[in-house]
Amino acid sequence: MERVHYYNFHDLLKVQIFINRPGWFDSYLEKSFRHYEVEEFKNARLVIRIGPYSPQLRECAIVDGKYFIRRNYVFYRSHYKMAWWETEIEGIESELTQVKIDCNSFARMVVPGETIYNLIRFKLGQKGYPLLHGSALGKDGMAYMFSARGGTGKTITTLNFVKRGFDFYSDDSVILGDHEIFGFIVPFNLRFTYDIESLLGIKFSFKTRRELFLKHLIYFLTLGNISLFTTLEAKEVFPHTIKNHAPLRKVFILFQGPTFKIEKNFPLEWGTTDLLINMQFECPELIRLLLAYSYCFPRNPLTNFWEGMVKQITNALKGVEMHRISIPVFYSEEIFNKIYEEVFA
Amino acid sequence: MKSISYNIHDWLRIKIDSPSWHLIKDLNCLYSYFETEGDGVPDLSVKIKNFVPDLDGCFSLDHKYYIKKDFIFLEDSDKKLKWRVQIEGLEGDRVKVTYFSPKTIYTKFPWMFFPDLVLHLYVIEPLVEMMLLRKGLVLLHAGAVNKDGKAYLIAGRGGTHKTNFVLDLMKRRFDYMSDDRVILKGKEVFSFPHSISLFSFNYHHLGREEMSWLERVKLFFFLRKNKRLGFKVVDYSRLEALTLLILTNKPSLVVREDFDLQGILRMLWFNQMMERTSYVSHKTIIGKYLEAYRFVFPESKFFPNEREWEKFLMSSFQDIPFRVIEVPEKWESHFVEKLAIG
Repeated sequence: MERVHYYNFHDLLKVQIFINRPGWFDSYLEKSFRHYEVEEFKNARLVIRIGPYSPQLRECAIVDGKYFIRRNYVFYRSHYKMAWWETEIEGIESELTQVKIDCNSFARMVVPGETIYNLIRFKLGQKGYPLLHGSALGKDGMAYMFSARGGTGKTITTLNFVKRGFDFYSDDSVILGDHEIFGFIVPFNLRFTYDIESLLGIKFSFKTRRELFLKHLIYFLTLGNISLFTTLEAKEVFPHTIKNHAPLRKVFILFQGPTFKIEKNFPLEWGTTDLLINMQFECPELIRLLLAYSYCFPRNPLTNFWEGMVKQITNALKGVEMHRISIPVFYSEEIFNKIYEEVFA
Repeated sequence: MKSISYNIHDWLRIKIDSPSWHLIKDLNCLYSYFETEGDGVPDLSVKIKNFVPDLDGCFSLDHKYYIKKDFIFLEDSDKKLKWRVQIEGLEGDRVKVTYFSPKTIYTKFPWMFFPDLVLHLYVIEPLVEMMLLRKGLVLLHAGAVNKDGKAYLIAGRGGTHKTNFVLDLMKRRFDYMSDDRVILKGKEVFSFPHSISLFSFNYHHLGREEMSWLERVKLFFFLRKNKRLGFKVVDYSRLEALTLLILTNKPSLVVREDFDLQGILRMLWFNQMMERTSYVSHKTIIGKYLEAYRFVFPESKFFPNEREWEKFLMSSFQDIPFRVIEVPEKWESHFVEKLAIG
């Protein structure tokens, strides 16, 4: 049975996903982009079909035994541990991109997070909206962006800001427009060690509490060897403070260093390099895909994808204050207070 | 402690100190062609030993890369093999590498045959490429043959029959320079054979690149015996022509006409980038630690970028005839006639 989902990302990108797999596939996908699900629309720019298909591999160039490429067409196989998935992209250079994905059941956790996320990143980038890795928060209708690698303390910073009455735009990725940002809300991936309920003064549903309890139990029984991540809906964590879109006032690049240190007015060129590398670390699959296609068609517009990204980021952030902050491994209330001061400085 | 020294055309001296016991030396010493007596101070010195990294004052990324000025430390793993490596003096002329992987590697298949391969592919080669580039030399992913002092380059992704072309040309009295990498300095070409004994096995016993399982077993004994090469290697030549290969599933060979010089240079760049960012696994990419370093020090210019790289190559390939051909998957020896030769 085929099911259809429609996702509309701030009218910047419309994505239609057909699923031709047993029901369990839905749960992961739904969780990932549920925030942007809408009723129905026509003229989607990205159409994804998940389910078995037979790829059209006639007259293709073969790169590294993995990518099958001809004009406007790419097919490739990926695998990670037990999971494998095969992706066919038709119209990679066109406005309408049609994708087919076939995968085994292990890949159901990977495919939404890797492949579909990458495709959305790619389509947004093509339209001139880089999808950066970072969080965004707001006060008085102005947004502040925090870009950092995973594990630096981005999520805890976000939670602390929301606690102090900031609006929430996004925690993991941010769509960058011209001197403005759009939220890109996906579920929180939390190490359950954060006590969010008391931090934010909210109450979780019974289901979430049960899940958290079981993960605590596993952590306890394995003497701390297995610490599982918990996926939480943003709506459940911040029922009232979610906002969509705001002009961008300041950008902070956070990274882990020996001491707390602020490099004020970080040069735009260097900041752009950091933002780009941070984004590229999130999408090795997309980098390789574009390289393989560029190798076969070295003069097509896609070969300048990342250069275009640099230009877009540079233009979008011209005149926006940028600071880089190095944060020690042990994140404390004191450190958050210093960041908080810097936001209003 | 054994130490091996390599001298790459007097531009780069590498010294490797290793306690490792090698079942097959040739699979672990990729640059054996350049082996010399160890004299002089090496530009790149590598020590394989257990060590405690000095992480004082380091920035960290992903709890995996530890970085401070001129210094990278990382721990990584691939298919049950764990290793850690420390690079010092990254931006200077003398680079020091310390590498360690646990002894259990000798019990794991297939790593037991090449315990140091990871070090060569993930660490030494990106560094060699970087250090050569700083001297204005491009380590290009291409094979080369020589005739009458003229070098013919054959570039392409892995699996595009580069080695087959080189083998076939050798039958036609061309001399071997390299089947995978060359060093370019303007219009001068220098050989950079790596794993030359593996190529020598292809040359003597197969006459082609592809290997069956039985032949792999034969290779094992061949490499154990450490035979002499039996063919001439030309070190230096002048660039004469370039052929670029694309593998296809079309039934016959096609010569592509839609390329200009700019396209060729970009294609060479993407070829190089794919090699540099080769997937090790889903999460690990060769040479990614250099990007991590750039994240912390975005102002550093230690690795020339695409523009500078293209400038180097422009000086090489200006006025050089080139040809792009699409090669079918199945190798046939008449393909050689379509190369940009003669």
